[in-house]
Amino acid sequence: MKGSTKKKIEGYLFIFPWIIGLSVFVIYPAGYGLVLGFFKFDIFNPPKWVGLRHFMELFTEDPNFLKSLSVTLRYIIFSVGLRVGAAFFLALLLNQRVKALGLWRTLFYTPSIVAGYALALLWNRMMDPQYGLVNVVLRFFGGPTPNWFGSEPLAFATITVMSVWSVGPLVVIFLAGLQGIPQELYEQAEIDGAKMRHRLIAVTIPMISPVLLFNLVIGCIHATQLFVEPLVMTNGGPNNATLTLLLYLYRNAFSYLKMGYAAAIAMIMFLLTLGMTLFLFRWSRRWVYYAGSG
Amino acid sequence: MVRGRPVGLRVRSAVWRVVVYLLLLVLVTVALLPLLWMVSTSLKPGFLEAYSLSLLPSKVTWSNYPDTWNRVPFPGPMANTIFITALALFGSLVSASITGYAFARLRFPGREVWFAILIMTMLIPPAIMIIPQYLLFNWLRWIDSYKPLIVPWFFGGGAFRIFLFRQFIKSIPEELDQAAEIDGCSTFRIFAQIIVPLMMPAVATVAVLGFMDFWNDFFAPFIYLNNVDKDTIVLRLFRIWSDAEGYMREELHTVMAGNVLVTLPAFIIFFIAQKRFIQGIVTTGIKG
Repeated sequence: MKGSTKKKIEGYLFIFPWIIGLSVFVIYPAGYGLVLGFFKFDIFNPPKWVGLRHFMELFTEDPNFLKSLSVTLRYIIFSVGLRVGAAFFLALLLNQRVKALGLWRTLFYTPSIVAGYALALLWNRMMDPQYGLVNVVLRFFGGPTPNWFGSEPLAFATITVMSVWSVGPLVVIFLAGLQGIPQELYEQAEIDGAKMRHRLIAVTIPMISPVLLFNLVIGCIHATQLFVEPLVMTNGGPNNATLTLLLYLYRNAFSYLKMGYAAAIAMIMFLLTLGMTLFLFRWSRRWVYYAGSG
Repeated sequence: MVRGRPVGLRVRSAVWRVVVYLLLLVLVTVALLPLLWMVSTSLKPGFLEAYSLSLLPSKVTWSNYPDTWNRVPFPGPMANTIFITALALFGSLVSASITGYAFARLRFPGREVWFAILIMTMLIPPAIMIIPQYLLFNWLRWIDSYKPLIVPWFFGGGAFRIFLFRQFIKSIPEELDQAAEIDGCSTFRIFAQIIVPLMMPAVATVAVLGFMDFWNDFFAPFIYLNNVDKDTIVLRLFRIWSDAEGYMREELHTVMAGNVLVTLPAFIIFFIAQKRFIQGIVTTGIKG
């Protein structure tokens, strides 16, 4: 039919700009990124094949890389754990049929509006040993007033803990998931005599588990890309305690012009993300419950 | 129903409600404290006053704001940021809505495959693309121009935005466009005259979320812009107040005034359009 042929062409006409953008700005760079790590490249001279040498160097001769890998892994575990835990707890609280729910939700979301550089700058100044909010409060209560960016564990802890303040989107997603749980399930559980704790384990957690998985996956991908906070607050220090993979990649690519070496780091980040996602999906088979699919 | 319950349960439930509200109150205070401190410090007459616990400035010093505005100075970088945000936002709204429309309504061979590709691109870690994209823009001689920050958004507008538009357009009853089609309307006219007016809630959602992304973007301006005249406002603040340039403690109050100024547009938009905003997060989150 003439009309349907026209329709077929039309569909492609409508998505054509996207296909161009996809090819030029996504697929080509992603493909290039997957091979560039095997080349030595400084922008000015043509790329030179070096095989696996960058990867050998990263893992055997580059303590900064190993440190940044360990920092990033620890950040993923602690910050995702803290953020998902805090968001779930807040969503549970907000789901207790509180009055003025919209207002509470807005208030808990508000800190997440300060993002990126402004957030990093705010926390940098808030942790100032003399005039920062945290030490002013600690001093008032007679507590210790440490130099938060002066020691490795404190600097790392600061950057990890501050990520809990931008937990707004996670709360919103959890809350929407909780509100979607059919009320009958709770009523049934109550008739069966289930205590609150049991209702949480037997009804809430299974019903919310797909949302939990989603938040974990997105949270891990997001945490792998940590950049502006350490750049602004500590510049990776002290003693590389907050040197993340992306910050180290940035330095190699744009400060030392070691594009191939930096691309090898990007590939490690890619494999890390892929590995985490696959692990979470596989692991989730044991605890995610999809209502309706048995 | 309540009458039938044992008294004990009712008491515990009242206690429980008090506990819930107390917890919420404590947590919301902790959550908002950094923001309150930011605003309060920005209004204090000098950095020394930050030494006191009081969040109330001894004298509310509005002049910190014009001081910061002139010292940074804000106008140039602000104009640059507005320019980039407006064009990137426009490009991604137009492009993502057209693409989303095609995925929601038009039937063409391979649509499901392309849609699967779209979903997969959301999962590509951006790190793998940073260097090749830089090299591509370098080859195009686009470095130190706004093109890398704007042009790509006209070609698709971002997978999440396409997805959001597709979901929304799918929820619009199809009878409307079928009737228009019988009347001989072209596909583009159906999109422009029937779908576009009906999808305004989705446009608002994408615009609000997109504004935050473009306005706050640090990484792309940071690697693509070198010339100080081209600074976005966030990049300018970074250049003058990052630790590399020396940590100026005596400027604490002006630094915080700058921080308030740079986040103010996002706050205004959030409070005006928070319903759309939250809905957008839920759509891309839950249904994603």
